[in-house]
Order: sequence, then structure tokens, then C-alpha cells
Amino acid sequence: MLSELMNFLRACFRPRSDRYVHAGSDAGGRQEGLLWYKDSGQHLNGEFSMAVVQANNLLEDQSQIESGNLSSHETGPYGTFIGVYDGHGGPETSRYVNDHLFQHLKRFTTEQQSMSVDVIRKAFQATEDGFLSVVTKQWPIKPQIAAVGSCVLVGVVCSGTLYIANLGDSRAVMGRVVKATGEVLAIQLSVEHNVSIESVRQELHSLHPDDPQIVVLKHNVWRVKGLIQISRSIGDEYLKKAEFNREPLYSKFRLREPLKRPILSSEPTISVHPLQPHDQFIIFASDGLWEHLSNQEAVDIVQNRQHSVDICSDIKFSWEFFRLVQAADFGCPLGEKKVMSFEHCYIMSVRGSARRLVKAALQEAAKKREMRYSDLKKIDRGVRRHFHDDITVIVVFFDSNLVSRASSVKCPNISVRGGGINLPPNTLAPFATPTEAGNT
Amino acid sequence: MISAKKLITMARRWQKVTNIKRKRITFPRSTGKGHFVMYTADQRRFVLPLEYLNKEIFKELFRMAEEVFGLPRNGPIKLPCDAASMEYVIAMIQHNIEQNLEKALAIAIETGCCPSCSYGAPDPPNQQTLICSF
Repeated sequence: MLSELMNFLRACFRPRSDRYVHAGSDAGGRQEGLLWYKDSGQHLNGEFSMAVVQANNLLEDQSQIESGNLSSHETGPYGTFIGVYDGHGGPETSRYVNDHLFQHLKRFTTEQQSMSVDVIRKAFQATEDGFLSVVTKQWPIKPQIAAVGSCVLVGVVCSGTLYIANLGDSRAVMGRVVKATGEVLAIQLSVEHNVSIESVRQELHSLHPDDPQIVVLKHNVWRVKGLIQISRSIGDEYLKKAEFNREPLYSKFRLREPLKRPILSSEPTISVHPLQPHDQFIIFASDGLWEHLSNQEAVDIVQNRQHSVDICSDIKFSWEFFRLVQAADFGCPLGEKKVMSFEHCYIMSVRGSARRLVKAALQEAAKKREMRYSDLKKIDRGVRRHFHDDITVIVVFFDSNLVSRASSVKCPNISVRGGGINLPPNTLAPFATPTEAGNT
Repeated sequence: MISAKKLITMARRWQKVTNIKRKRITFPRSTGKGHFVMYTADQRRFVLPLEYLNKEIFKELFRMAEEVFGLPRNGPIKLPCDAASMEYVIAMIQHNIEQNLEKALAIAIETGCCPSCSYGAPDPPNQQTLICSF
């Protein structure tokens, strides 16, 4: 009886991250209708939670978390790589980035034997070059490939340092504890390239002084050449190279004047942050989330303090319950009394945090569309894109004991990709090449 | 004479009542279970059953809305046709028109049945003839 209860509790709560190490690839995840989620998993520096909800007929958001060896050399460096790729015009570019960016990063890390801003920049460039050659090859048979692109948000944690690289309008937000008050503050880590931001419009005007129509306001939304809301991306070759802005591309994508220089850039904005002990977690998400939630709202939902308190008070035998959880997780004798610690709240907040964020965004979307959340969930992919965008969320938690450990500590590689399962065979991108063998 | 204490409690009670009323006014308009909401270009609000989203004509109307207005962000869904066309579409669905007719109707709307539309189709007034041709 007791052992059954213990098993149940073990299933409910994941063990503390530094007590157990998962072996091999951890590619699980669950699908419920259009929602895919993995409530918790282990990475080299702590835990993570992941969720994706599909709105487009073909999922345009792609995402991955790769933890372990960041190079092909046995000595490392070891760390964690997080990628969120928000495609537009089709899924081809984001799928390509999902299949190639991390491989390029590994190649350059191996060459330079360390992680650096330069390695990340080169990996982005190699991915852009690779996709350009795909477009060149496909152009005669599938010219609309030139109007497909993707935003790319990348985070790399290595040797206690966090690198954030961004192209487009996905966003990374950190939850940091303020010691004096115990509050968790939201700190935005990424720079966005959306022309709704005035400085981004100014940047475009200064790069194209001869074109007063470089950004135009159309139905209350700013767009580059009236076509696209972002100023940087991978792909979108029709706004980068003149040879792809001509027939047989659909006329709505063709510019009146021939392209003299690239309009969109593929140069990411990269920042470097030394990780501090009070840096608790980072939310990586596509703009589908951020159009419904503010940075602080999202951090509060992850932190979930209110929710934890509710659970405690809801369960009548809460004290006994948590004592059992503690005993199950940490191997304490059952009779030993311990105060319910911060770690328990922490474990609870990790589990399903990405799914909670997606749910909160969908509830907000339902409110804006003046309908019920339960009804919104019934709407099929495709037509669903008029109610909300594809949403991808990865929440990465840091265990301060694990962040500070050296980047040479070996551990098994972990590789998880968001959503994208259960795709009918005819929906696969025609040029999706298999990733490097044995990368997990 | 009413005592000051009684007056205060009465005032508090009224305050509560008015607060509730005010809240009611600011509550978002409720939508029945199994329904979605859309607005036409002339600001009429339509509450429609979710099944309508599977109809070919609504898929076509959504596609047109995206082309004209882009995808909706902060507000409700707005379609680039007027209330009269929408009522006609609903009547057609209720009378179970065939799929190819649905498509033809969508094309009719697109090619200019919408005199009150802000985007202004150039030559709108042949709606009547199109309706007659069904």
C-alpha cells in the first residue's frame, strides 16, 4: 500500500535534478489535439519544460533543445543549446534551420575548440547560405520557396555563460530573484527585429535612404515594403536577392523596383550574459506567446507561487503529503520531519510551466476573439490561425549547482524536438535532409 | 432620524450594488457555448455556430480577410464584407447549398458585393444579379 503511494508520488514529482542523471536520448512528449508538450526533462544545467500549439495547417514553428557535447570532439565543451524557429510563408525554412543550425554550431565549436559569439555568428551564416542553395535548386520547380522564411532565437549555456542570439521577433525572457524582496523579476534578454518598434524602422530608413517606402503602415500594422513585419530572418530570399524577385514568383511578392541591395538581413543580434546564482529560469518563445502575455505575466505564471500555495491548502493532509513526497524523492526516513522547502515549490513550478504559459496565452486569445477557451480548442488547424498563431515555449531552469560546473564534465547527450510529430507523410518538406547520424 | 451609523451601512450597500452594476457593464460580451464571433466591415457583430468554420465559404471569407486586413492581433475577427452579404451567406448555409455554389458565392462577394467596405471594390453594384442567378 505504502509502496504504491510512493510510486504514485514519484510519478507526480520529478526528482531533484542533481540526484539522478537520465541516460541517452529523451525524445518523449505528448500530443493532445493540436497541443504537444513535454512537462519536464533534464538538461545539463537543470530542468526544462516545453510546449507547442499548432494553428497553421502545417506547423510553421519548430524548436529543439540539445544538451551535452556541443562539439564533435570528446573533450567538449559541454553545455545546452535551445532553439525556437518561427517560420512564415510555410514550414520549409524553420524545418531546415531545425535540421542544420545546431550541426553547424557543433562544427564551428569543434574547429575553435570553444564556444564563442564568433562560433554562433558563423553557424547562422552557414545556415543562411545552406538555405539559399536550397532555394536556388528548388526555384525552377517551386518558385514560392523564395517567399518562405523563419525567425531564429537561440540560447547557448556553456561554462556558466549564456549566449542569446536572435533574428526576428521571438523573445527570451529571464526570471531573476531579487534577493531583498524575494520577487522574481522579468528581464528581456533578446533584441527583436520587428518594424512595429520605432528603432527598427529607423535602422531600415538609414540603410535605404533612397526609398521612403521601405516601411509602410497598412491596416494599422507596419510592414517592410508592405509585405513582412520583421527586418531580419533566415530565408525570405525574395527580399534579399534580385534573381528571386521576379516571375514566376506570385505577383503579390514582387517589388515594382528591382532590388539593388538586400532589404532583409540575416545578421543575428548576439548578447553574452554571465549566469548568476539568482538567475532562476529563461522563457524562450515565439511571438505567438508574446502577443498575448507581457514579460512579467509570463514570469509570474512560470514561477507559479500562487498555484503552489493553492495546492498546499487544497490538500487537507498537505503536511503529510509533502513529507511523503520528500521521503520519496530524497530518500529520507518517513518519520523524519522536514519543513516543506523551496525545492518543492521549485519542482512544482518546473513541471508543466511551458504548458501553463501556452494555456494562459490561449485563454487570452479566446477573450480577444470574444469566445470561450473550451470552444477555441475545438477549432481545427488551418482555420485556427485566424484565432491565434503557432505558439512554441521552452522554459529552461537553472540549478545553480549545475550551472557552475565545468564545461568539460561529460554527460549523455539529450535531444528533444518540439511538436512536429504525427505529420502525414505528404506534408514533409521535400528537401528535409537527415541530420548528422548519431547526434543524440 | 436615521443614525449616522445606519447611513454609512446603507451607503456601503449602495456602493456595492453600483459596483456590481459597473462591473456588469465592463464585462466582455458573453458568447454562447459552441459559438464564435465575427464582425463585418460595417461593424455588425455575428455570433455563429462553430460548425460554420468547416464550411468552404467561411474558409474563403477568412482567406479574404487575411489578404485585406492581415491576421487579427488584438481584437476580434473582422471580415471584409458587409452585414447584408453575411446574412445572405448564413441563409445559404441554413438552406444547405451545395459546395460548388458556396465557392461561387465567395467569389461573388470577393468581386464586389460590398458597397460599405473600406477597401472599396471598384465596381460593386451587381450583387443583385448574382443573387438572382442562384
